[in-house]
Amino acid sequence: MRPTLVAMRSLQIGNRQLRLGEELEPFLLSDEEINRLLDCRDLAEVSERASLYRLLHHFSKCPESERVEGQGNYEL
Amino acid sequence: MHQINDRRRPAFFESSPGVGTTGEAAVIDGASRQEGERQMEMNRHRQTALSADMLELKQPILSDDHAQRAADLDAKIRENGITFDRETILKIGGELFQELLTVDREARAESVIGPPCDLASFASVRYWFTLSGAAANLNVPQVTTSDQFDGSDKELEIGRQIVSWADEWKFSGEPRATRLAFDHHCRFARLAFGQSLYVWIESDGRIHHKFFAGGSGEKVQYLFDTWLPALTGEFHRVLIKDSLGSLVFWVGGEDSAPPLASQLAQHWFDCRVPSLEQIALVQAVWGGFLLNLSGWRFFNHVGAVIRKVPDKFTIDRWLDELGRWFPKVKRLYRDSQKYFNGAVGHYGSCQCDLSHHREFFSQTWDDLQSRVSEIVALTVQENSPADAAPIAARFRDQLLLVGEPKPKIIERVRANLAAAFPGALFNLEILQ
Repeated sequence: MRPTLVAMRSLQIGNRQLRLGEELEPFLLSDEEINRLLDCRDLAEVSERASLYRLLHHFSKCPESERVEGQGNYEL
Repeated sequence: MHQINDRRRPAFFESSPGVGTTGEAAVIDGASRQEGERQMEMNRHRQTALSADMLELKQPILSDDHAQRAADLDAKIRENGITFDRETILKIGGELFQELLTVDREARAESVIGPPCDLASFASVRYWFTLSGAAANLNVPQVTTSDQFDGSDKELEIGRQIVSWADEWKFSGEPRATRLAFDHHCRFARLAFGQSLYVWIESDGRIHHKFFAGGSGEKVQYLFDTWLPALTGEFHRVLIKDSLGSLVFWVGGEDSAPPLASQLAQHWFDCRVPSLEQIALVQAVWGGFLLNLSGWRFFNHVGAVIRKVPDKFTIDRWLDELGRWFPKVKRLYRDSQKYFNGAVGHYGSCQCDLSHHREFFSQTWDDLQSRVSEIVALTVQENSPADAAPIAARFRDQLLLVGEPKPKIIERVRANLAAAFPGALFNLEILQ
């Protein structure tokens, strides 16, 4: 599972308002900007949490995708 | 010569003439051993004499080629496929995804759900609830010495199990976080199902999948319904309502029609217009009765359906009432238990293997419900032009049919069902 970017405090990124624990869209920022926010501890990479954007990539329009164990229980 | 002098022995043993000498004790030992062997032999005979294969339940009267015709029809349904509009799926999915993010945000405002908690995974949610102590106190009582003594501890342990989302209602701490986590799960499940529908759409705009030829359970009840607006064309549904009730009554020999949930709710809640919550509770109790559940297993079933802690005293009382009103259903399960006897301990005593008994009936009801659905589907097919494809999907408790409902189709279905299940009373409804 790829790490999920999670806000560690309330923060504003452009028009996007993030609250503590909320996931940042994987495609919203460049790698450089993400690294800067990670260094400031504004964001954290959480490896034990799957990204909703990647799991439901057709509906979130996320270019990346992933699957989790048990997801097949809810599929055709 | 040693004289037996034990005051704890029953009086009749003391008064038996000649008892008490070593030689006579050996004779008694021998006799009791012979009796024990005889009992064991009898039990062995009983076990071999009755087995589940010998249980003869009422079976539907089907034509010899029914299985082949049903298989051909299912193959035709798969081949024709069902048409979905990709854009509508994406539109509905996009809206639902935004709602999921809102619920996710609300849930993460709860202190129990830490930032690393994966709300799409039950294991992760359970871990975080356990970490905060919210899962320490369950809404099911702990096993006591008294329960262990009377043997109800195993059932209670089943009642206390937390292994899937179906058990989440048992958390007694943090009700808001529990509700939000479950809401998140339901929304995620619907979206995951919708995404798989989207992926399965082929170049002709159709999905060809076995789910649409015999699918059943929660996927049909809760997940598929969300995506009905994405179907292209005109459809109507034929619902086979409470087919389990109709079949249990038919096999058990109950002459009356199964009661409607609303009727039971009116009676038990003493009101004219029961609420949806009251009807859901009554349906859960009714389902538990039909499956012969009792004790903590029944409590577990009702709680999982209504997603709340039911009042055990009340639902047990209702279950008893149902047993009194429909004694033939109780008798069906009770009389069939002897076919599931298995040896217990080292002395050849027999006891019903209840898990085998439950499995057997669960399979039986599944099979019979499938037969009902097949007969309804075959009747619709027979009453359509040869080149038409009137059935878009055949589920176990409903059919999705293309176009407008045909006049008198329900009457024809009823006639065919009456021929296959003589005396059974099925509740069919057309939904447009």
